[in-house]
Amino acid sequence: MEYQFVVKLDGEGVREGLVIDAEKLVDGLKDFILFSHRIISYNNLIPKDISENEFHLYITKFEDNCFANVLEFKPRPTLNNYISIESPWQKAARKIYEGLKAFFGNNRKYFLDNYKISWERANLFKALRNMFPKGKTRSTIIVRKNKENILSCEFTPQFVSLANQWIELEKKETPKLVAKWKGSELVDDKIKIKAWLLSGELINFKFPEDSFKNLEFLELFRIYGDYNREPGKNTLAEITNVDRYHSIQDEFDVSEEQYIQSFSDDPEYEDLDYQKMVNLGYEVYKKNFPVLKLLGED
Amino acid sequence: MEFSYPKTLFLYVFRHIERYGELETPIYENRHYRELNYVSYFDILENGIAAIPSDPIKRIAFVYRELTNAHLIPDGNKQFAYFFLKMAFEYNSWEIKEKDTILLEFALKVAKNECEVDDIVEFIEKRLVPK
Repeated sequence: MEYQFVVKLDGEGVREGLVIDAEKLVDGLKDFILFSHRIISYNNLIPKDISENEFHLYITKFEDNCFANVLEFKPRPTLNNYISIESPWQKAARKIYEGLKAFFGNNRKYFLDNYKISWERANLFKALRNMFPKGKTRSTIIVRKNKENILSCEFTPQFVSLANQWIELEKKETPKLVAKWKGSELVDDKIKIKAWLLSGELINFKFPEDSFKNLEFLELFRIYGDYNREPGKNTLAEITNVDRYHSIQDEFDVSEEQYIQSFSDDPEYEDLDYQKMVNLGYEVYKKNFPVLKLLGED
Repeated sequence: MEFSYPKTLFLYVFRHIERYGELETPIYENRHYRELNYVSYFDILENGIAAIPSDPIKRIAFVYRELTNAHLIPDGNKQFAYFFLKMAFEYNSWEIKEKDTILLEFALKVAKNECEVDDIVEFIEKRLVPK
């Protein structure tokens, strides 16, 4: 028996998963919750007309301090098991989520300006975003039940691959970032907290199964890593290139109002006619794109 | 000719490239853009160089040439400079009207350090039309 929970971006998923609103995804992602998944508990949220073998994947709203909800799966009571995934995935998921939120959310400017995010990582966020393109449906998590009635949860190789890369980057970059932040007097509390979080909670996690100590966990949550991926498919490069030539308009990660507001909030831009510049810049960029492109190739 | 451009145009161009840059060599991926102290660099251009011309077109030509050749960032200097050039004029409702191929040739010539400021001014002035 197999259950497949599909995260949908359009339409209303009732039985198969919860909707992630594509508009929100593009429009700041304030409520975009990707990594807080929970199967709705049997007794209150699952409608009565659902058969015994059905599960719902419930994506909750993700509050900033609500990490406990990340990736908690509650099978129906007939299966008599309850699994709460411990830290590695939780941490990975949280970090990916935070990254996504920061990168695509309305604090993108703040993030980019203050966080000193590498573009390598930014591209990873982008790749993660591209897993959920507008108007398309992709599977993130597959839940299966075997003959012994035991649930297994598999993240799609594509997702896992990206998450793996994220973790590797995290390991590589964090010490440098923390050192940089600590050396700066300009960082505000938010950054300090972030630095502390990263330094204190470096992810000690690899997707290959030997990094898991909990055997039960291993059995129930067999997670595919890169080793399980078909060669040449779903590579990061491939995913990022998909969007490389999307129209300029698609590059709007935040609404125009938010973008203009980001200028208004910045004292550096006091003498700037924001709206005029925004409109003009876009117009000039479009008009001169062929030359700019060729100059870049040279 | 009434002509001015705000100091922040320079900054804006950076931000704009960050935002819209989706070129063959995506310069927005260049972290050095972000690490650059935009304001300081602009101040140097504006105030620190005694030779900076006061004539508005010459001034823009000067900044354009500087941006192209100073190599203050590893990649994307030409793109950035060119975008700045176009924006500086369009902001004042003027346009450099010319075929893309010639503009490209011109930009590459500047990048090869084959144009003095006066050459750039001459090129621009011949093609400058009100929008």
